[in-house]
Amino acid sequence: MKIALINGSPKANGSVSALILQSLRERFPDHQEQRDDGACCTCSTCGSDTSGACGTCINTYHFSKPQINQQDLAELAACDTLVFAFPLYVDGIPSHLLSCLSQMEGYLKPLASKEMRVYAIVNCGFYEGRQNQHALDMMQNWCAKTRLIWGHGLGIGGGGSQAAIPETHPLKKGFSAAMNNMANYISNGRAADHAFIDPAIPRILYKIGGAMGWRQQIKVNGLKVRDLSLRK
Amino acid sequence: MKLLIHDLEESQAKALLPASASTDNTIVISDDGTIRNCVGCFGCWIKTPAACVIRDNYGDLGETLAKCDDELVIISECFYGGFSPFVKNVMDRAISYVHPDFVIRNKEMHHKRRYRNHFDLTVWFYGADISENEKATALELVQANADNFDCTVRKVGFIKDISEIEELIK
Repeated sequence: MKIALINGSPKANGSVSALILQSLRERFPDHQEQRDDGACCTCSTCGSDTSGACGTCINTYHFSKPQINQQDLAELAACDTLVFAFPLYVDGIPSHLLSCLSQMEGYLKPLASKEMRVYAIVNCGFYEGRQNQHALDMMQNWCAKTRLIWGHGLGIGGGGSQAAIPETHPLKKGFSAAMNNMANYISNGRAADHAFIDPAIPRILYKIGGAMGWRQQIKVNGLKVRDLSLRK
Repeated sequence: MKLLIHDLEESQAKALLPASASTDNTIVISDDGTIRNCVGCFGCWIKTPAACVIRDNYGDLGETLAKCDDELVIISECFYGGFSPFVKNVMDRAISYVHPDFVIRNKEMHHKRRYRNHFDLTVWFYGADISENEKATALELVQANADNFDCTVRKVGFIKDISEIEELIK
């Protein structure tokens, strides 16, 4: 099975989506990156056979701009599974990623015989993971328009705080379970209803923590706390 | 002050939108082909508060939203139950309209208001083959947007052909 992990964050580095995909990637230890020349990665999945017949490669893509290049489009079209991870922007899909999805729709729709499954993980800064529902619904609608098979959507609340916690920490229990489920669905080509997870701390603490964070960051930038409330 | 955000080409806009769309009482935001996408830096909250750090023609959209105290009308092609890339880009680039701090509104976490203005929200989605699922998503999306902007949904409509808009927003 060829899997594409697609980071839909516009951030070049340090995105929560990258951390989430890294966490998911670790759940497929036997799968290797396909070599740049497209040849077999010589991983151990199919024993001594290095012909590439097992086709269990996982490649990672980063859509940080509103266009996808032709080589990436061709590679994505050869995949069995696409996994998107992106941040929630104003209740929906970030605009640059929306442009990429539209481009993919145009490229993939004519390949109607291709059975390709799609999974998505959306994270937001709000506490409630459920606030990612509309973005996941839009991904599901995109699948229908592009004639792909929708698998599963995961909405993560307090995304930044959850992804940054070490994997074995008790506060990451819900996140880890949701990622295990996602990996299981992907491996078995299964479909499931959207799942949503909230941070494992009370909402009031998360809210206070967020306010403290903004105050620290604005001071680092040489501004005053009151500048957070500036009006133009 | 009214605000109109649309993704129509210039010739379409001229032909279909009423003359009142470009009076002193209405600000129109349309696609001049130069908009850059939000890069998720939060600079509009913590580096240049209330303004986007990207200084293209769309760098002060939060301030523009703050001038709207009547109705915000959005005309957008429907993409998967949401806005078109241009209209979504305008929304993404306008988050300086709200304050980074959180409040609990309608039992959910949202952003605190930065400004005191209030507007009603009207959205017209157009497209020849908008599915029922997309319509359901779009209706929920606009309500979620209204919760976040702390505004009121006046109307959400769906039209098959953009030429129908001429009659609807007279």
